[in-house]
Amino acid sequence: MIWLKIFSKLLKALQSGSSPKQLSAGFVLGMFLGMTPFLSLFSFIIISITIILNVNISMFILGSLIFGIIGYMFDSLFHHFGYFLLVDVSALESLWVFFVDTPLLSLLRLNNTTNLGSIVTSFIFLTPVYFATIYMVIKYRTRIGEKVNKLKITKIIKGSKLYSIYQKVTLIG
Amino acid sequence: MFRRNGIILLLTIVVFLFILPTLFLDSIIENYLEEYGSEQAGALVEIEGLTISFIHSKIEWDQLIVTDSENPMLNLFETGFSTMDIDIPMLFSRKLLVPNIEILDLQFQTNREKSGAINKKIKKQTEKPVQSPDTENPEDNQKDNEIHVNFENVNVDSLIDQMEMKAPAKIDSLKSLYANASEQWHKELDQLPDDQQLDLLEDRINNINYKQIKSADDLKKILSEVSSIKKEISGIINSNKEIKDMVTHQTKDFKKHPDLVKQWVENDYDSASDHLSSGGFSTENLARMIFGDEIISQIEEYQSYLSKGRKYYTKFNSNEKSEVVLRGDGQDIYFENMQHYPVAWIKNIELSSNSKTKKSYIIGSVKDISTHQQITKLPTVIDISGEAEGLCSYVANGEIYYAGSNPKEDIDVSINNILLKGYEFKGIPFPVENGIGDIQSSLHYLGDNLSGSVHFNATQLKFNLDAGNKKQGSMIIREIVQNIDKIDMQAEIEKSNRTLKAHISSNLDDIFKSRIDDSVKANKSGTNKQIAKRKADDTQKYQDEITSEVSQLEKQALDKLGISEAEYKGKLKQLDKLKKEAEKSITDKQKKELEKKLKNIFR
Repeated sequence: MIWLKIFSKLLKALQSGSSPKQLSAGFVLGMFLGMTPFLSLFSFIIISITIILNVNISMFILGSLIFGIIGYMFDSLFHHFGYFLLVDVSALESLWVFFVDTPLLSLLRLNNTTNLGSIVTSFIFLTPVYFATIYMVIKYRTRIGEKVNKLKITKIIKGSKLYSIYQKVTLIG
Repeated sequence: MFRRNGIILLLTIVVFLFILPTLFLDSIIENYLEEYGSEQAGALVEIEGLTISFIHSKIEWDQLIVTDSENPMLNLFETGFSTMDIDIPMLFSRKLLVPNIEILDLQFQTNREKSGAINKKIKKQTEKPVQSPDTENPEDNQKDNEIHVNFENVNVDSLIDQMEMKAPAKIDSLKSLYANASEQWHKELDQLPDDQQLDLLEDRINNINYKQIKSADDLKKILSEVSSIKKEISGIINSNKEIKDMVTHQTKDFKKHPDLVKQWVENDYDSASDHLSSGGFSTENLARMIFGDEIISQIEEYQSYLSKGRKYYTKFNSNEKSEVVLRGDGQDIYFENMQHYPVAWIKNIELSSNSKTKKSYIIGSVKDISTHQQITKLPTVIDISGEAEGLCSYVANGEIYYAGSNPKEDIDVSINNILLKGYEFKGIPFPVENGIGDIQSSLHYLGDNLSGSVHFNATQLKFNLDAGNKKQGSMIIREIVQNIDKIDMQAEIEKSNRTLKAHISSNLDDIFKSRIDDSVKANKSGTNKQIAKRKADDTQKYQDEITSEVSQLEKQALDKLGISEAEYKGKLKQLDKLKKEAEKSITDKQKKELEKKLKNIFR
């Protein structure tokens, strides 16, 4: 049920009035959450931003799922990258010391190699992923959207009883 | 840009997560600490009246009780009203930093009304087990040929009984030599033909029928068979002879052993006799016997507390590593110039007591208790003193440091004005009627090694001579004890590789030694008679034992050989008879004919 809901919402969002920027921002925030290896203050900040800002929640969930899997696969790379930043780049040492020694900020756990590696990687990919997502949403809406609507699976989902109940409920809500 | 509903949702979450728990924080934390503490201590931990004030950065509680996990009807310790200052910002760095704790009325080993046992979850033990106090008796370490005297029964028999006699061990080694030899003989005997093989041989002999001889060829065949069987039997007889020679030769040597045994037993008794005539015991024995147990039990008591400290320190250190992480946990990097704090650090504990209400008290301070001394680089420093219900007063100083390559504990304890009334020293059969004692001990543990000293000084001593038994042995002690008014004992202790060595000396040693030596020497003639009798009895007993065992073994082997030899000789006679009968059964003409052919057979 939940997957059906997310999928239909996603399709609706991609074709509805949600702007490509809102969709893309949701996806990027999902990327940040998915890439970080464990729950920390950083995860809490990302979830808070997602709730406060008018970004698309379905895209956020999709982003966190996709990048959760990617992050899991690249953990060791994040560890090496984080280790490089923490140990080999001595110019940044005072910055890390500041983060670790400052109450609350220390809860970000930026002195952890995998955590830092994944967060910095997320920031590096922020701009490309953001604009790529906008481009893909626009492309989808102009070219692929109609084809997807015509797909058998989409028709089955849209024609299902559950979907109609869901639509009624959302209309009433 | 902002989602209004989202802001409301977030605020709701914040309220649920932070504000509501704050209202019930005291009871939540109290329950959590009780649960966590019980899990760590392995027994019930109870906290009463816990209040937390973030404004004043303070936690207070009315009572904290920690049950002793090894004895759930006792508390490891309990406190009265206490206050604890906490560094709130550090809590946001996931660290517990406690600049100061003030504890009122700390008491150890108090009784419980109900058992404080909890149902422990079975965990795989990962930490290196902390070694339990070594219970090895120091007396065992220097046992060689020393006599440990029971003062209640000073007599020659008891002294000889406690001598370490060397002859029995040597006699045992002889017996094992016999057992090995016997095993070897029986192995050889087993290689001789068994009943089945003998039956076959028998059948072959029975099948020889000289009446069927009709030609020279028949006779030739029969004589050839007779010759073959004879050869076989002669071989067996030779083997028998070899075994018999071996048995006889070895038993001849064994038969000399009773003389050797006699020599061993006599040597033992001569040595005992020499020992007794020189007094029979050293001052070391006496001091160890009187004070050894006391010292060991005191060391055990200290070590049980220190073991608990090591156990909890190891537990805290291992817990941090077992943090559950769903994905790759990476590595936490620490920098030299960063403020580096352990998970928990109590900088100072001040102990005070409301002496108006309590008969016993502890006051003083404990500094720098931390979960990770390798970070603080500071040892835990203990400086406490107190009084136990008017029985004695004490001062304890110590330094505990686990961050080095080996855990290290230096403890100095001095207990003064101990009321000795009613106390019984082991080996002295009279209790103390009056007296005051002081103990100064200094123990230094490094890993599993220990070095230290214990000094016991008792003054104004008077023993209750009416309370002891009135045996002859006790009369000697009675004379000595009634003149003792002070004891000054010094013990040097060293433990390495789980072996505890204690060198103990006291002013009683010389007094006891000279008096008991006199007593033993006074009975020297009686002593010598007793020794001579026991020597003769034991020598005869051991000699008989050895002689009987050797004869028995020899008899068993030779009997077995004797039976088979007789049988084989019988068979040879039977074969000779058969041969003669066969030869008789042919005519002279045939004889001449055969003589030529047989020449080749019997060459």
